[in-house]
Amino acid sequence: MDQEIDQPIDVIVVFQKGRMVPVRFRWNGRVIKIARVTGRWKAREGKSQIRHFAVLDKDSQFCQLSYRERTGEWFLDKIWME
Amino acid sequence: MTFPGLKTQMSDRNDSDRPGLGMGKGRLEMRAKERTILHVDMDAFYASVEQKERPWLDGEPLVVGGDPEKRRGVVTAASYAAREYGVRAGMPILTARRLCPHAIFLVGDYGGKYEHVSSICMRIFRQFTPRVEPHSIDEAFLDVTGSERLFGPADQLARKLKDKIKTELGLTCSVGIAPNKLLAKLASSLNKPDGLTIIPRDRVEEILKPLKVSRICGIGDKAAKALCGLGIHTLGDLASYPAEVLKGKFGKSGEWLHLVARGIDHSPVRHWTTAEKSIGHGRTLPQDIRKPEQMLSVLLSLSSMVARRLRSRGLAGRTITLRVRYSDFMTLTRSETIGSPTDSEHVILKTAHRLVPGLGTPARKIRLLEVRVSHLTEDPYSLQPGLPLDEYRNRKRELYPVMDRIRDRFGESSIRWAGAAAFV
Repeated sequence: MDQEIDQPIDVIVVFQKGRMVPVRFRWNGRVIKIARVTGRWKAREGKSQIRHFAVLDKDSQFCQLSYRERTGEWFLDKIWME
Repeated sequence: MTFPGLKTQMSDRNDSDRPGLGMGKGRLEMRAKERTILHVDMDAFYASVEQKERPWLDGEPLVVGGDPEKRRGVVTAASYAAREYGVRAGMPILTARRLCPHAIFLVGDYGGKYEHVSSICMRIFRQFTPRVEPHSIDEAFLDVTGSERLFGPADQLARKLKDKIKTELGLTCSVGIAPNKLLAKLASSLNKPDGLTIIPRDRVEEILKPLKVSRICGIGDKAAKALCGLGIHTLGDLASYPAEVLKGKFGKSGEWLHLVARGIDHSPVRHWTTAEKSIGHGRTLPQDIRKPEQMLSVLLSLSSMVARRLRSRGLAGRTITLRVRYSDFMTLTRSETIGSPTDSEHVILKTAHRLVPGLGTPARKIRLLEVRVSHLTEDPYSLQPGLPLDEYRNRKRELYPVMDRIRDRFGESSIRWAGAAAFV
């Protein structure tokens, strides 16, 4: 099941064909390489737009990240726990 | 694909509420035209979106639903593997757990994910016809009558649409093709998931005859039970039942039943936006409440949300409706129409609070509260300013746009009235 994390993270992003694609992020001192983006959507919080990304790492571990445009911060929203 | 024989049925079609069409020659031609309607239903939408993000869940029994801790414990969607165990949308999560204990349960993400995917679906639908009527987040009616020259016959068009949905979103959908909305919706439900079903005009009677009355959208459990009491089980039974008797027993609904039994539906695909008739907010509370101050706090939050939506649309309303559901699931609805339209949360709150049954301390614990405003008007001059002496009320009125601007910029939870429940 999903476990809420909601912690700030550092993320490396590339821009491909005008799209923002997260490739790695650091959480709790670990660097996690993103193998696949399986979903993306936008939401609003006031004027600020939040971009959400559903991603899988190389072991197919699911994580959900979000980028808050107003503050330029990235968050790890949730991870999948067996 | 066209459906011969529909011309006469279309002659009394009522689309008087359709903007931009006069009673000239063009309208008469449009009325006479045979229609081809598609109903597209995304398969197990919420569950499929989650499965796409988590590929290892593909084929697994998956239940997406409200948060049991917040008591929004109802199944929103179940994957087809979960449906094999009897799990259905709308069922309490606890029942779903009992039926399929090994299913994976996800709370669901209601922060815009499903709306985003839905908007992409609708955008794809509009590539095939501008006449798209979203029926819910995961369903739409498409009038493709004029699209066949561009995309081929309706069945080919439907296959192209299904392919595009699959390629762009990785999701499947079921499509029904028929001469009207009623039959198109029925058709899409006959072959799921990933189905494509056509009900041609000349086979309507044959297809409808053996089907149970409950297969028709709009005939719920209660109506089906009432019909069953008359010995009407199938649409064939309904079609052969005298129209006058149906009308006598069910009034206007009886006339409708008589028509649907024959597969007749003249309703247009409403691809234009219609004015909102009411605006409301309701919440199942994290815990049942009984204290008047707790109730007031929730009502203030709900009234504030309703008023904000009214103001953002430049609307005001005169009728305030309160819906209360008690812990034993008994539900009461009460309304009051006030003298002049309002978009003020404090006027809405005051009226809603007056409507609380047994004002003071309610006899039973409350599980759900909903506040709704209707009889909406767009006329800003109908909002009567407070009397000069009513300075306190006027000062509140000045606060509303300020609070609205703060919420516009920083989000809905950025500011709230002191005393308003935080969880709403």
